[in-house]
Amino acid sequence: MVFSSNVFLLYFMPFFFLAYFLTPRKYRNYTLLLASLVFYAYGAPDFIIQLVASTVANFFLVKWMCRVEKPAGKKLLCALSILISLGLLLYYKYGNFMMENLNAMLGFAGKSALTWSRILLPIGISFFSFQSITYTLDVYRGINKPLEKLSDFVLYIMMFPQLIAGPIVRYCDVAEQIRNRQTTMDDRLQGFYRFVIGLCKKVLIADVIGAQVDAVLGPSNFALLDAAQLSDIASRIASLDTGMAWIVAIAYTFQIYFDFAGYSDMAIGLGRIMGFLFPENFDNPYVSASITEFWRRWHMTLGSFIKNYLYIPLGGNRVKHKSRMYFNLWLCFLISGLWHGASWNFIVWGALHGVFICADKLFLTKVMKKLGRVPSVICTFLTVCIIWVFFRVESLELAWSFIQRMFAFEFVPISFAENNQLFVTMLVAAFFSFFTLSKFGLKVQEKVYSSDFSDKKHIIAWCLAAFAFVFCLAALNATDFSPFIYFRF
Amino acid sequence: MRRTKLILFVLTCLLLFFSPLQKQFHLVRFRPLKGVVEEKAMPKLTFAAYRDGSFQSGTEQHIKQQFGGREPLIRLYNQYLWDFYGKTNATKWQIAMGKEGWMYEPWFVEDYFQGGTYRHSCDSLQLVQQFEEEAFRIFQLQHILESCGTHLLVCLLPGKDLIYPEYLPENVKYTKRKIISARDYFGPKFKELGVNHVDVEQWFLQMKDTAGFSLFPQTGTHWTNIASLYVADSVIRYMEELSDMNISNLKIGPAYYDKTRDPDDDLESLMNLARPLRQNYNQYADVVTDGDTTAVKPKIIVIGDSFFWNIANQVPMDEVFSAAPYWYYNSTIYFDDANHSTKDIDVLRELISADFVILSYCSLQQYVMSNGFSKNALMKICYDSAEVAQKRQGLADYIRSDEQWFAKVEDKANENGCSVDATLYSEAEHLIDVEWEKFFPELCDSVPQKRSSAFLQLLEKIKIAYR
Repeated sequence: MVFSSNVFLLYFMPFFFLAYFLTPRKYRNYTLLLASLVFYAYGAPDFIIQLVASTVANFFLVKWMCRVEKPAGKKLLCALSILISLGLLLYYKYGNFMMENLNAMLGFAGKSALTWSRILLPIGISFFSFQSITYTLDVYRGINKPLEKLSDFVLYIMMFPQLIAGPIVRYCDVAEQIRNRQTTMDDRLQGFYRFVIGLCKKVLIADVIGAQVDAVLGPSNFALLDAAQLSDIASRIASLDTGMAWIVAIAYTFQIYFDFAGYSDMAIGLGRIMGFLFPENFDNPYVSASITEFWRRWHMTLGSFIKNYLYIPLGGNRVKHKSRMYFNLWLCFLISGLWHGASWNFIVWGALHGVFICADKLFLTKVMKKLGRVPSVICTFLTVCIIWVFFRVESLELAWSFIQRMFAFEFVPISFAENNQLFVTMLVAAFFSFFTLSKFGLKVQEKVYSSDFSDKKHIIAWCLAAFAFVFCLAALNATDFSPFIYFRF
Repeated sequence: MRRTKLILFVLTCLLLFFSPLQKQFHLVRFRPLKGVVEEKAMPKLTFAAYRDGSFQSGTEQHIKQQFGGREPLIRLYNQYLWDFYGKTNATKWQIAMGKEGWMYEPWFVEDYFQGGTYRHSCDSLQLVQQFEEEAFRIFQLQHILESCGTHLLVCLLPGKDLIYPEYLPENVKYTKRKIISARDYFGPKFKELGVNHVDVEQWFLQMKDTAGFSLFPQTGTHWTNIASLYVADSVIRYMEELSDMNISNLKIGPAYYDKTRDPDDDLESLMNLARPLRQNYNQYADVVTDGDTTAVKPKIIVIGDSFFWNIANQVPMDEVFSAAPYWYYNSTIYFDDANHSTKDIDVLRELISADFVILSYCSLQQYVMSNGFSKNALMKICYDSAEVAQKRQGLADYIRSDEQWFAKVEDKANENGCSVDATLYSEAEHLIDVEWEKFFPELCDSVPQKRSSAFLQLLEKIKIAYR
């Protein structure tokens, strides 16, 4: 189930909140847990048992780990717990990828390919695997005590607002909130406003732009396409002129941000309604003046996870040789790329970001500073745009062909009238992506996201949110409503 | 302060619950949406459907069509698209915006530029052959039915594109070579064969500037109500001429302006906007019969497309005809209390008992002229069903005896997940359909003399009873 579906918006969400707020405070976690199980089981029926089983196993392993006094035993149980989480991730997410590459190598060596059935990727596995790891490691490191109740742990892993697409909530960030949280009327209202902001980002911007991007690049999951469909996409890419190629690349740059940030906003909003304060995931990433800054603003919870649970354990900045530090940085981004998807294009995407991060450390930051804020932002944005191509086009050959079209310098006039909705939506997306470059924009953003709402501000915000909610519902349902005058036979 | 927040929270709850409550209790009566869509039924919850996700996606689609308060939301978004971008979902798929606010169904535009030909067949020779066969069948049918006292006539109606091409959208380009279209073919061919027909296109073109009223509405796809009345009157007169019957004629009053009525704004309605595009007025006329007490009321059968609706809804049909069932695309039957589908009727009985069979197709639908009616009727007139079944069985047996051929049929059955027998019979039927002249050589005669025993028996019984 996704947040921008009718099932969720019209049935699941209202009835869940009704049940949640009617439940006595001390039993609310059970209501939330039950709803989360239903939420996940509805969308991924085949995986719910594995998810619950692995979660239960992790809970008891960590509990056992806390009781063991010998460090070696602790370490072993910690490793076992992580292995369960990572093992599931590796099997479900990377099984196909590994087999494809193994078969490619076997083919190269003149051996026959191994047969295997494609494994379906359980939704949200990348997120809850990481959350489970943070719990194990935070308890292992003594940052937090283990949870007493199994239900609380299952709730932490499976809480439906952040189960599918994050933010990746570290255990230490919500441990106390799971046990004891207060919900004020402000939280409920502001949570609703935040949810609607996210819904608008997703439905009114990302989906509108996405439809046009898909028209050129096809559906995003290339693994599900056959040869004819891939060849169709290839011919569409080959026929792109430079202007259109850039428009598609920039459109996708906005689409992925508004889609992902929208989903995070909805998750944060839903959590807030229940009194959870989930960490922020995005901070206007496209106003970054360097790739390093971009990663401080983009998918911040992943960045934080990679930093705390990968980069620092690898040695972080405290390594003997700088070259090792650069390698560690690059490796972290390579792994981050692989985390996003099991395909070579994601690895290239991560590796390229890693290269730019290292370049920033070496010289690029200084160059950018000399350029000034606005030119740096433009350069960073365009760089990110180009690198996104590897993220969207899940075939290295086609991605490269697309980038070649971006620099072919062949221009064909583009009809504004035919694409007016795309262009207007892109302008709106650009406005909201860059308006915090100005001090005024920052002030507006602070006011919108501040917790201190007067009555008047609440009334205005509610009216806007209510209209936006209705409008999003309209957009969700009207986009493919196309009746015929009469039935024809 | 606390009270304001509480009120807002309650309002939020109401907002979230409005749709389920509206769906259940119909709290507010909203203007229904216009047009027809394929209804998505609520999928059945089975373990298999739940596991493969088809239950979830089906439920989403069902809710999309059925949720409470849907109508104003669709209108709201359509209005936004129209006001900001000059388009709606209807203009994306169902409406081509022409000049000066004129609207067309895109298929008419396509047809005008000969694109329609390609939609039906890329092979012009094959298409011409199809037209030729259809025209010939209609000719044969006309002669056979005439001998039983049933007159067949064809109304060739123009599309809006042919009468008002000056308002067609600009920049419509079809790069393929112009080949024959249905509307180019049938008029001259019927003339050559002597098939009874009324070609409305030429008549409309002549009267377009002098009629004093618009023949097609600016915001509709079909002819105007008033134009359809004049055509109805002419067709009735033509029927009198064909049959020597005295049929009540229509008295059409003077044209007057009135607010646009259905279906003169069917294209605009399809846009499902929140507010009308403009205060639109069209010309209308009142119609009565001439009150001739000596007139007879013939039974007619109309087979055709949606253009007939304008006539059926305006002309006092009960006063002119004893019965006028409308076999819409030769599929659903309207204006017949006993029958609802052409699958349920005894075609022979209906044909023999009728005085007139009218095929009424606009230029766009002439590609599928008669919708299989002529073939079906001829087969039933000339061959008993047992005879046809025997031929089919013979062919099926022949295929079964041919190992290679049968293996192919088995593969096909596996591919489509059908039984081998069903695939075998459908293969046999397809072959009969393609090479019908080989299996039913009598149908190749200019007027087939062979008659099925069912036809002869019916003719005996019904015709005598009727006349």
